[in-house]
Amino acid sequence: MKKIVAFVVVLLMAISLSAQFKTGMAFRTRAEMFSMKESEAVWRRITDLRFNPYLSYTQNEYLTAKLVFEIGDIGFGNVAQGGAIGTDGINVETKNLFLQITPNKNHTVIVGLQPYKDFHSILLDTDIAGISWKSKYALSGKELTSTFAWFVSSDEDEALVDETTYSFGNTELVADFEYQLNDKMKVGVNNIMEFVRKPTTDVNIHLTGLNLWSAPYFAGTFDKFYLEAVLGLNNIRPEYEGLNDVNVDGQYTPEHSGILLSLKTKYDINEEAAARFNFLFRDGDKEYLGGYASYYGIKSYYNSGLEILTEAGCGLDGKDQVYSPLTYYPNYPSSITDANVNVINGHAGIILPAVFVDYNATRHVKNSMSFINNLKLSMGLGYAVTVQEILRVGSDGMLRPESWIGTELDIKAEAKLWDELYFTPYFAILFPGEWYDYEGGHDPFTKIGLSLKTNLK
Amino acid sequence: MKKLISIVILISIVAVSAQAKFGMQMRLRSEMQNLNSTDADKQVYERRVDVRLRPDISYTINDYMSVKAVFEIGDIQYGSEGGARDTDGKNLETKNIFIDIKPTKNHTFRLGLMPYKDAHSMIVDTDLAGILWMGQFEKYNVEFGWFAANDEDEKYLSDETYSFGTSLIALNQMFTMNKYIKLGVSNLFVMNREEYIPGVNRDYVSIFTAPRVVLDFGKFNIDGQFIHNNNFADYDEVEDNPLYVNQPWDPDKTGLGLSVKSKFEMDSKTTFRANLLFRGCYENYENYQGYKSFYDTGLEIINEDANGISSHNPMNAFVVFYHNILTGESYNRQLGVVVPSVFVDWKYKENIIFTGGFGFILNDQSYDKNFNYQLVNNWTEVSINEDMFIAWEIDLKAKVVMYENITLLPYMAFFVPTDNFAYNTIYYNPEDGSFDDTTNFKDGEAATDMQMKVGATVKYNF
Repeated sequence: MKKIVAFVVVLLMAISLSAQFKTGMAFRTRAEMFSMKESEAVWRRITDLRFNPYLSYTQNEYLTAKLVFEIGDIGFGNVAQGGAIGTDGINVETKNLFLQITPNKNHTVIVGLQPYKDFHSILLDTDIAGISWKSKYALSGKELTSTFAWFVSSDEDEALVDETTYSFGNTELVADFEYQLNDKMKVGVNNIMEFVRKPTTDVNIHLTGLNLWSAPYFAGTFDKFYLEAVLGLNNIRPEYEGLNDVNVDGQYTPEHSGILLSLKTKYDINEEAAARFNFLFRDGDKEYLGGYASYYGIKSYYNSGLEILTEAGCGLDGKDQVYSPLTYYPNYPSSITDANVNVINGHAGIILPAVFVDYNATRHVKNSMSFINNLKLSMGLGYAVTVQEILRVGSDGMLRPESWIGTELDIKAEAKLWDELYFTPYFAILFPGEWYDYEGGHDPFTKIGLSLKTNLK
Repeated sequence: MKKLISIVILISIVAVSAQAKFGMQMRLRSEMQNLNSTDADKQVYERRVDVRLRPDISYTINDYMSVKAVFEIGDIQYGSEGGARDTDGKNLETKNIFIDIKPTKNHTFRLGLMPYKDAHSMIVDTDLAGILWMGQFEKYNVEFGWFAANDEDEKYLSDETYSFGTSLIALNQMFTMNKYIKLGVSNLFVMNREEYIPGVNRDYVSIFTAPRVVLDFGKFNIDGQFIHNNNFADYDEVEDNPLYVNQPWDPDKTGLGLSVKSKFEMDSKTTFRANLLFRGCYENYENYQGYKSFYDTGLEIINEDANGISSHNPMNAFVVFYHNILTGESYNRQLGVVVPSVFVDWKYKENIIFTGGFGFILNDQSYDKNFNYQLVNNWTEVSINEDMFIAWEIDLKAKVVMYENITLLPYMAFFVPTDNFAYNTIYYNPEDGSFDDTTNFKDGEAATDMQMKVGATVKYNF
């Protein structure tokens, strides 16, 4: 009997210990060959690795700590990233480190470096330091979820000016709400208010700002049809503040607003085939002395579903990005210095419809390759134009108003090997429109590669 | 029955925790030596203590997949490099991090930053980023890998993309003939492209072929690896550059290397060992050079992979600085060397082994060592001694294993050089490219005093 009791005690301790402490690791490797530069058809080749080991420790039902490291991206052969011969790179980064307090099952407070993203990643999708409070309530029998947060995206210290202390940097206040209308529909809104203070070249003039983002969204399932829609709105209100009686009349950055619409749909044709349609609209502005009136996020990471005209594809996003749908794009040729050429800053905007066809081919390979648990083949076609016609300059020096960015064709396979290994080969080609190919003969932008991902728990 | 169930449950728990394994290697070295002294009359004894930790995590998700990460903290030198007052050094490095995918129990695909070496570490022994297939057959083992040693990006030249950097293709094979004999061969192809001048690329290929034989006759065994290395340089004029007229003098080179390690267990307490290193070839600019070797001669001073901190590396340190007055060209002339050594290991107790070692180093041939040497502002040809013999070394050391996991390695090593050594190593410092014309040669005499080092290394595997 004593042995049994002793064993049970040891067993309970072991289980409780193992339950308290959890580890895991996410792994991603990508190999890609791509030709994405507008100026020359250089084919770059990059292979990289990224590991995200994590630890979480649950002290009790109220308190949990989580730590996520990021090792990478380590480019093969890259000295700066620790991937060259001899390795030994100093490349272990702290991605997340936070304390999660759960006073009861309906409220969670997270303090520390934490991930945050809005519904379609058009406002903010990143890791950020701060405090967030997530709550659940019952409203008319349905669940209402709210998230309030205070984040500090940038702290640039304080300065004593005009006998007063001023803080520099950016601070964000978040207020998100989501309401479950019924089992198949939900509505919500992501709101961010950002406070900005930046020094200028004149120590007595500060750029201050109160920037607002609001993005109501809807998601619903209607039998075989699924729909997600987000309307993004932003209002940027920069102001110049003169200290020590300095006049700021000469400073000019106008208040401006932007709008974005993101639509993602899916229709299940049958058990194996599905069709998707995505649509992105982002307004543009080509006004002289401005061009600001275009939507942009604080740090967006938008996935259009395509591989080139996207911010979050399978491949090496951001490397030689030919046209990013959301980030800043200088919508004038850099060789033009003539201020009379319309736009100085801002974004030309984008209209990007894309259709996809997915086919689940698992049954065709399961017998011959039993290690493939799931295989999905996809083909995508996207067509992008700018909202505003922008004067583009050719090698002949001629300026022409253009709007057609190009047409993209993607072919992709997503295979799930064994339990947790995801293998994704892809090929994407963007046939340049007149935006790039005003004189004809421009090589297409192309990327071909594969990614391998797993999450070890 | 209850006990059986209990054991099954307990094993299940252990199995769950066995998915993630943590470990750490620690190494602490303490040494005093005068190997860097360049003046026979002013011997400097340097003291150094350093510590290195290598924590590792391995995680097995199932029979098919596992991940291993090895970090390195250090080397942290006491009093500097993160080991000075206040510490707080940024010294956590990623040494290895790779994923193993095993579609069957005999085949493994390894992807990531991994260690890679040949059997004798004469060609390559380092960490590399790449992919490696390791296959096991009945009597045949094979490793085949691609590694990106250095990536210098691509350039678009003359309507074509050129990749710059270094790629490696590696192939290791081993065949077990019978219980006495194993035959193997290691191959390494090094392909490098760099920009010689704008518009002209230099493509460099180095091919290593290393057959190996392992003979094991119980108390006596011998492991020998012969290496043949060819190097070819080719210049590719991809865009017209008026500065480029002819391909510069960059001849093909051949190097030969040999490593033999043997062991004879005389009785349960006494073991004799004899090692031999040879690297050289026909011409004095064509001696064998490994790609990234980490060779262990077994000695403590004439070694690349010694227990201690400082050493004279027989794989690259024995060079002559050469300056050609006519062309203005300066470079290190590699010299071929031969390093024979013998050792006696005496097992005093089960956990204590004393070792005595003796070895010497000599050039593989009598080199023409006349070279041009600058005396103040005038270049003068200096004729130096053409002896082949460089130095001899005697070692005394011990290996003490304490508490099963702690290994203590105290050692004392003496190095007795000749004039030939002074001309080979003392004059030129390959680490910073400096050379000293104010000490050794001002009176035409070389630093030939005995050098020594004494120290202890502690290793612990957590």
